[in-house]
Amino acid sequence: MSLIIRNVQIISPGSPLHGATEIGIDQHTFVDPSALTNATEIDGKAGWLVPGLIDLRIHLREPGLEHKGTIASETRAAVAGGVTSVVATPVTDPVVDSPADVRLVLERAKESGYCRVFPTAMLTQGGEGNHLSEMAALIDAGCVALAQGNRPFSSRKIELNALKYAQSLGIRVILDSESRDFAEGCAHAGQIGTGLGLSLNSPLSETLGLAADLELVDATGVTAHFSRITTGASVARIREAKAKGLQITCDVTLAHLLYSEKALADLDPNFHLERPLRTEDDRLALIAGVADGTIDLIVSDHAPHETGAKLAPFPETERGMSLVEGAIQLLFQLDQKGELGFEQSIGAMTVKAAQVANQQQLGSIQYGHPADCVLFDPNGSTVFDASHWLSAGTNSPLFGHTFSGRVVGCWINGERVTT
Amino acid sequence: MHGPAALQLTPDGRLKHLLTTEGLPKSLITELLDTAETFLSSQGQPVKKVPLLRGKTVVNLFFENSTRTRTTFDIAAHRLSADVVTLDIRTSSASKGETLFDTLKNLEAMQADLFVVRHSAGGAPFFIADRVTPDIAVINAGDGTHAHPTQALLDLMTIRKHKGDPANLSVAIVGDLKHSRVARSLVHGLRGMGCPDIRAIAPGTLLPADLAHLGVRTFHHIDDGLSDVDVIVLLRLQKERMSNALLPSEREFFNLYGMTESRLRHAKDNAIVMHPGPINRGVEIANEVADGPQAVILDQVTNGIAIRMAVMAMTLSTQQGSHS
Amino acid sequence: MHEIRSQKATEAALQNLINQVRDGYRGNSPLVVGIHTGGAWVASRLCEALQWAAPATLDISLYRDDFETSGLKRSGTTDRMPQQLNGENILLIDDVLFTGRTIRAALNVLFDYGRPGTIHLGILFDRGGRELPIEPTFLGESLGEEGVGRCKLHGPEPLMLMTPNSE
Repeated sequence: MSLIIRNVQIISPGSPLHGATEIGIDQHTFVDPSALTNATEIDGKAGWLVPGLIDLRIHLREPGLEHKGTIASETRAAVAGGVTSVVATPVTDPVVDSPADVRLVLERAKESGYCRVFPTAMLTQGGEGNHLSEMAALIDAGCVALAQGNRPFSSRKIELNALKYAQSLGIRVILDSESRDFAEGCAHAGQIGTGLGLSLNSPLSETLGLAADLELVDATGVTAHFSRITTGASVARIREAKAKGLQITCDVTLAHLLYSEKALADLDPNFHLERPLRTEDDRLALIAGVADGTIDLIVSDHAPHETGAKLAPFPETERGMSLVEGAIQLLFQLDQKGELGFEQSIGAMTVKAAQVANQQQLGSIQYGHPADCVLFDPNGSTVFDASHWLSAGTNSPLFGHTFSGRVVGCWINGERVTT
Repeated sequence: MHGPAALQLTPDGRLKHLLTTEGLPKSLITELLDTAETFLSSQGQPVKKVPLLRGKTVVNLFFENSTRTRTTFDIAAHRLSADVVTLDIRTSSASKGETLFDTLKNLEAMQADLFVVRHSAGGAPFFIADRVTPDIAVINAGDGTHAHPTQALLDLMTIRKHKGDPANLSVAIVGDLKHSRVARSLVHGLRGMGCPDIRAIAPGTLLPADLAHLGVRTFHHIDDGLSDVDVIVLLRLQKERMSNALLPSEREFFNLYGMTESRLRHAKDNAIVMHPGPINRGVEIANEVADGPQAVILDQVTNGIAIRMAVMAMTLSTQQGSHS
Repeated sequence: MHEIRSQKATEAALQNLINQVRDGYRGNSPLVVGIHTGGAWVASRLCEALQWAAPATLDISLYRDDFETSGLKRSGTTDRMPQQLNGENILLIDDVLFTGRTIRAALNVLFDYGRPGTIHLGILFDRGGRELPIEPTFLGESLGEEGVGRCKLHGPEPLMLMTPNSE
């Protein structure tokens, strides 16, 4: 069945169709609408048509953590937020470190997923940082990259070996830079966290870790993606390293673009994250980093939790927030606040993310490409509340807030997905 | 949404819980201190117990051990004729895996009127106050490195009794401010009372990040910092500061920051010396200062009971008032 | 707020109370205890007139029986009370006697200081409405017949009986 979506503005950075007002979909791919006959027509009512978002960092919680979320519940939430492809972290229970685990995730995604799911797996067995995992087999099983998640390598020497081995197989690695010596603390070591008497995390934990990781990447020549940078100092480091010619990319989370340490003032445990929210200056530096391309991607770092995980005093709660369900609205909010243009942020969650996820055919509205797209009404609005929340994770700072913009429809591989 | 400072007040500005001294207006602090003064006078009578809170149940929720603080709250509650139940949570529910939230719901069902909470996590009393039924008052008896408001209030009471309105005073706090909820709460309390000159004296490893923001001047050399102050507050130095490599030794701390008679001469002639106790003689303070005429450390203990009585009476009074 | 008893009428009631007390004790001065706030003013005028030592003052706010409904109401501080008053003869003074609950609270405070020998009660104005079996030994003036509403002694100088501020 073929389809024509008319009366839209296509926002697809880098695509020849960027700015076009109509698109055809046939045989699961984008086509020239003038070539279609007998196509169903949809009036986009002057809305925006963007490529389906690609989220490079999401916790789907399967296997083993189904009380926090499932592939079904979290991919459904993702689609509601305009996300049509997700790259799942391997930090499950047990962690994804074998081809069987990868196949399990892919099977579950095929059975119950609402969007495309791309697995990643651990660089080391059990994520314990000691023995290399069977990297080639993991990639063969369907992983798009290998990561170490929030688990440290037992030594820099092991890390060097992991990166060297991955480089020789042409595998992209995703690194969460952190210095173990400074890894503790639930709040940024600044005015707010200090004032609330919270355990403090120094920005040095990230900058020292990043400096070391950059040296190892430089030494091995591996293709590396640095995930979740949070400080202005890190942005500067990455900028220097890129100028020097390192094959690196990096991402920032939506939370770090939207919130600063000030969000902790009310001790809302939803703001207890693995990487603490930093200063307002850091937030602005991160936004500037996305704007000038130093930061390549924006990720949700969506981390759903069961209610009990957040029902405790702030420092004792589990870390992470559930927010992929509002991904596209949050990008639009950055535009509305005048901080980051929508076209730019869309680029950071579509065409650029497709490259890092090694899915170059995705993330762009172009003839012949798989038809993943989102129809977004910038004049509409979305109310987030617990009663029609799709993610199993109720740990969301979005509850009770109304955001500009509304997802009108979402197509994956040419099929409309209803949530 | 609301932080600890907002949650503890009713919309018309009365004290519902005591979670922090941050943001407490001068009028409210003054009312607390005045109330404590009246309790102090009742402490002169042969039967020290007054019937004010007869029939009320005070639950001491101590998630962290502290015999001294717990004892002063016990005495305060008993002197007000409240029934006191003390739960040492470390050895009961928490070890059985019951969450704080469920412990709380159970205690509510037992018809408690007031929770006195001590917890190692900053913000835990706020979590409790935010989730208990509205007719239960919560008093923070120390949470992590966040706050210890009753200690700060008793310090303010002691300062006011000996030196008058803090709005005219210079106050120096010496020692481990970084890990001290006492110091943090005292700084907020002094700011609330309009104290124009608050100083912190310590090496860089023992100073927190937010002092400048709070208008506190920092000094690494004690003689400079003590110059012409009216009040000196010494803090207790925990042994683990040495094992964390924040300090080389107690001896070096005493040599650099210990309160000796000769150092005391840098302050004003009639300056008072305070310490939240228990004191480490020869570490934070020399014997002759601890036992000297300018030390008011035992007076602080007496005031501590009166302050805790005042806080209990005022918070429960607000709860009562909200019913009528 | 308006006058129930003028300064002149209040002074007359006070004089009447003083005369009764003088006759009642005939030279053996008791320990005079005034209840904060109005009772303390009356007690101090009385001691002045009889050339007795300044009275003790009593804060009964911690002994009130209406904490459940009214919360904490502070008045003043207890002052000049002896460490213990075993066997003492006490003259308890208050400004206005109504339900008797204030006097009940004051008696409880006094008993927390020991076992007094005798306690007599001196009252400036009695407005009736008793809820407890308490009657004054010495009385300035009874208002009972007129059925006056809530009232409050204003002072310390000049003394006069008024309706409360809110009325």
